Amino acid sequence: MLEEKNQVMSNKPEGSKNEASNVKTGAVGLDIGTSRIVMADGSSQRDARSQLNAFVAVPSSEMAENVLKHKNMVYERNCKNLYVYGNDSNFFASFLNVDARRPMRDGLLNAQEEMSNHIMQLIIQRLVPRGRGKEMLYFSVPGKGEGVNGKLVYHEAMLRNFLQTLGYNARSINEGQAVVFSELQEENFTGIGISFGGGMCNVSVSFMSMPMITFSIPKGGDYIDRNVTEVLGEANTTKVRIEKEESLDLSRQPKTDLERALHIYYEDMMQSLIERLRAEFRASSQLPKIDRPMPIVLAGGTAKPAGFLHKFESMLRAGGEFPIEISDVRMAKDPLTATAHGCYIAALSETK
Amino acid sequence: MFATKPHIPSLSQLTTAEATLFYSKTVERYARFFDRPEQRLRFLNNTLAHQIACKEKLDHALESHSFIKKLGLYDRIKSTGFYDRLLDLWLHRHICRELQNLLPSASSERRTLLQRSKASFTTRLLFRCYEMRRLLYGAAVATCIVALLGFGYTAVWSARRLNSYLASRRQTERRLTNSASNQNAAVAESSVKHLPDYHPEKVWLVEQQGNYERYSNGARILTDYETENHTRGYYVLPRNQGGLVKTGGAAQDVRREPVGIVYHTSESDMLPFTSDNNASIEGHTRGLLEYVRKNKSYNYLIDRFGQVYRVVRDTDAAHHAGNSVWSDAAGVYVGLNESFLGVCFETNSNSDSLDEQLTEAQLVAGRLLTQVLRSRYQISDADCVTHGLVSVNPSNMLICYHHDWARNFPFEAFGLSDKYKVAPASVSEFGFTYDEEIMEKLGGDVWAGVKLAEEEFRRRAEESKVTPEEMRRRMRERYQEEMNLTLRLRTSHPAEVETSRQTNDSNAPTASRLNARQT
Repeated sequence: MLEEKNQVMSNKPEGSKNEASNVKTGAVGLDIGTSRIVMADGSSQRDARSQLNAFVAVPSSEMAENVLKHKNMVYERNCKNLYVYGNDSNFFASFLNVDARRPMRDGLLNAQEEMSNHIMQLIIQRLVPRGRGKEMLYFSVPGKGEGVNGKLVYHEAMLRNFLQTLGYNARSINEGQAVVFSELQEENFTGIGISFGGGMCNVSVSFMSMPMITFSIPKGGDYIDRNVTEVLGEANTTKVRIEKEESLDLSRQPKTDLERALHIYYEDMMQSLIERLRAEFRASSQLPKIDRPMPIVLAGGTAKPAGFLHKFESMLRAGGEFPIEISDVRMAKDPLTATAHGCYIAALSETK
Repeated sequence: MFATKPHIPSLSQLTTAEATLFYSKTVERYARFFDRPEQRLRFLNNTLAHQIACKEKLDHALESHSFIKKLGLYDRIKSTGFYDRLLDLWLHRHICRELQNLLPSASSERRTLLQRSKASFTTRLLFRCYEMRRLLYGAAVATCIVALLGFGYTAVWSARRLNSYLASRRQTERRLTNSASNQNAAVAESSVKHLPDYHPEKVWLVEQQGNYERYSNGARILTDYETENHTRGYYVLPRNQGGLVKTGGAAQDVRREPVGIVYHTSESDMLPFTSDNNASIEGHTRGLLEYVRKNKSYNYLIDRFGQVYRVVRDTDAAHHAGNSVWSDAAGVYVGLNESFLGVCFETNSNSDSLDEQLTEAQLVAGRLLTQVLRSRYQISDADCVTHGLVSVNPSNMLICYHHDWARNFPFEAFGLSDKYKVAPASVSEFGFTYDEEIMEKLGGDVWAGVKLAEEEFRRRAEESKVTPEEMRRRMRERYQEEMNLTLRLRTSHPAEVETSRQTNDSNAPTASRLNARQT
């Protein structure tokens, strides 16, 4: 309902003003991922709202603007370009046969994109209504990892400041930990939460709601898309992404080169993550010696393909004895919204 | 369920992660109360995280104060269970406070939730206890108060029991000692030799109001029941004349001043001496005082609360001693009503032992009154004696006709010497004797002074070259003459003479008579 309202607003000639007009009361969880931004606020738990975290820029012209208005698309205009962002960017990118541009890369703000901050703020504003200053909002951030640490501080601070200007008491939470909050209530938030996102994979080993190990690896959906596109000599990632999201089945033997390439890079991503997880456990002195088996829960858009869970578990078990006993490996109830939902639970728990 | 450790170290030795694991065992039990994830998460955060923070704060506080380390308290605190127990209590406080905050406030909803939760019975019970903590605190305080009162009551009761046990034991020991000393007559000394050279300090009248007198030694004499009788008049017989000397009469001066004190017991009914009997005890005393005043029985009466009442004026004789004999260095006194003041204690003898008991107040009051009388009339210690020691029965020539204070009078407590060691003039001068019944009454034997007096009487008979029986017969006649002489001094008061005659045989109010009067 809210999204429709936003779109209606965007149909106005001054369509750049897309901010929600209503005021939010209550906690908000926000999963700010490389490919998607998902918001959960408890109004409809199963159907959290999301927007693609992407945009397409076209040179500003009256004709192009008329087309956007005709299609009821949300756009931003400056003196040079028109920016179509959010969910509409996918359609527009396909229409123009170009790759949509990303305000974020590898889980963090994309320094190479001049408009990244501005576009991201526009997308967030489309999802999150204004708060009254005291509402608690938890947003997801990646864990520390290779090439992340320095940029993470900037990324987190920028988002927090922006969300505070929206009228929220904004706090960050590790993406993997958010998955734990969303899916491991029965285990008293003890277990391993893994979010396979577009830019990276985030892992949190949690004990009684307290993160003991958190880390990230710079491999995710974008890594797979980019590399498969390169090795297959494709012009852009559109074909690869469509194949990945719509028909890839990791439990079946690959039949085409594209499927083979996708299998290879998926396995590479999983293998990297499992090896890193083993290494972290070995290196960690913070983890208590827990003798009960811990569950692993998987979430994120990259974990959507059929057979992902089975393949991950097989690779996990095939690697020999794991440093801790694993009770089961399971997929989140809704992998796309699990992180946002976890953020929402964290926000709720802090709400008086 | 959690990490198993072959050896469980003290909490102080655990790392933060290990401490988290340790506390999680407790926290997890309570977390099951919450179905909603955010509530459970909040509960875990607010308990575990706070607890870890508390532990770190405590560790820091202990380490930052150097004097704790210097005093060796640091190691002691950490090595003993105190540290662990303190943190455990802290944790439970956090847990219960969070449960109180997070669970629904409506009691019905809360009850439903608790019943539905998978938490163990112990967990639910503990939380219930926390919910009812104020009630439990109240109950605990009440229990403590009751326990303290009970303890106090038991202590007082025990002390009383111990006191009475010790008193009875002391009494038994004293009786045994007396009995032993009685058996050894040689121990007894002559009266003159034995009596101490003690004179009480001067006591004077401080204040005199309508119904009381107050003296410099603190004595207070109530005069509400004061009455008059005939004026005193008596002769003093010379000692040791073996019946050859002529009797008193015109040859001697009539004396009017009291020369001594005779102590009595009222032998009236005694109620238990407890505070709830105050009114009844005082009622009994009033009845006794009325009786004593009417019959002019004593000069003084000391009730159980230690109040001293003057009944018959000091200048007048009271009917307290009747047939009685005592002697001192100055001579022999016959019919002590005329010559001695009668002081009666409101008490009676135990039914089995014939031992009288005084209250603490009576002891104090009796001592003070004795000082007053001795100071006022210059009464010698030798003339402060008990009724049992002076009472005689001329019809059968036996001593101890009345047995009040025939033993165990606390002479020492009154600042007096022990008259049980003094040879009574009734035996040494007039040859009165005793029989088996009297010995039985006195616990198997007569007091030591009697043995001494018997020897003296035998010696006198030998000196007079008559048998003791002949001597006794003569002295009986002399006693009667002396009594008659004393009675004749009162011919100006015929009615009193008649009363005196009646009371000569049974002068003091016995218990049965008093009871009959009071009822």
